[in-house]
Amino acid sequence: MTGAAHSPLALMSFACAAIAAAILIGFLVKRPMLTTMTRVMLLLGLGAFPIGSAATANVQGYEATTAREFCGSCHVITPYASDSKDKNSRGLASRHSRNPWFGDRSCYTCHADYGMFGTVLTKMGGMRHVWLYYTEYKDMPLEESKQKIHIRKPYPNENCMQCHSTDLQGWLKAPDHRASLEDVRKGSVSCASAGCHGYAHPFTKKDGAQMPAQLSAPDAGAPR
Amino acid sequence: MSDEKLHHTPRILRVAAFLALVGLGFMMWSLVDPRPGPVLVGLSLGQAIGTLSFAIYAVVAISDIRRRMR
Repeated sequence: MTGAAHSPLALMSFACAAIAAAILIGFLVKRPMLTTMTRVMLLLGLGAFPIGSAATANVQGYEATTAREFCGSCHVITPYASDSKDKNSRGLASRHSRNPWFGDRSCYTCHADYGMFGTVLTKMGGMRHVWLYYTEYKDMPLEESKQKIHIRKPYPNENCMQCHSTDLQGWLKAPDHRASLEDVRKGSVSCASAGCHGYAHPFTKKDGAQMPAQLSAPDAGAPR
Repeated sequence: MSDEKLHHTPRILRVAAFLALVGLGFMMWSLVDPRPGPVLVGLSLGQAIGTLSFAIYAVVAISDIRRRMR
């Protein structure tokens, strides 16, 4: 049992399920006549408690899907998750994961769509990943998957700009930022490219060893 | 209510109770083992089965009420 199973929501879901199960097993074993009391107990056992259990399990399940451990549980994503939590890695993903705001949810924080329907779109995309994993990539060797699996569409700078607004003086002080300001905002130049801040997951690139010098600065991942 | 209907109704509800237990089992599995497979099964199949079981109860309850009102 994982730590998530001990959260208050999970415990509430377990409790509701246990009460519902006790009512239903009692009903199945005793086979009582359909009296008013039986109807009320069934309403609780088939309706109220399972709905309570499902609602809390939904929220807990959603929380579980935002954890890096969840993403890394598919073997083709394990190297990405491992690199992200590697304190010695200089990749963008790892640098951001060391920020407590990203922490153990760094995959979700960086890859989530933002905006009004961002959560729903992100979850739909996640379902697609799970489907593709079980239908296409489950048996793919790791080395082959590093070459074949790519992000579906270019990583949007908008996601970077959730924290790095590109408006503050500290950011605009960098000559490269000033020179490429419009391109960055339009997304025609990627923040996570070899010429700028380096790849998020450099181990997947043939030229992954190329890391810009400014990344060695301790606060390079800090929001500005 | 006729004897035939009195026997028939609990049988459907026993099926509903069994389905609900299966659905709850899937949902609890997703909490205990939060990997993509169990979470997908628990939050889709588990909830679909649970919803079906409650729908059966609702149909039985509504038809029972309508029969009593006649």
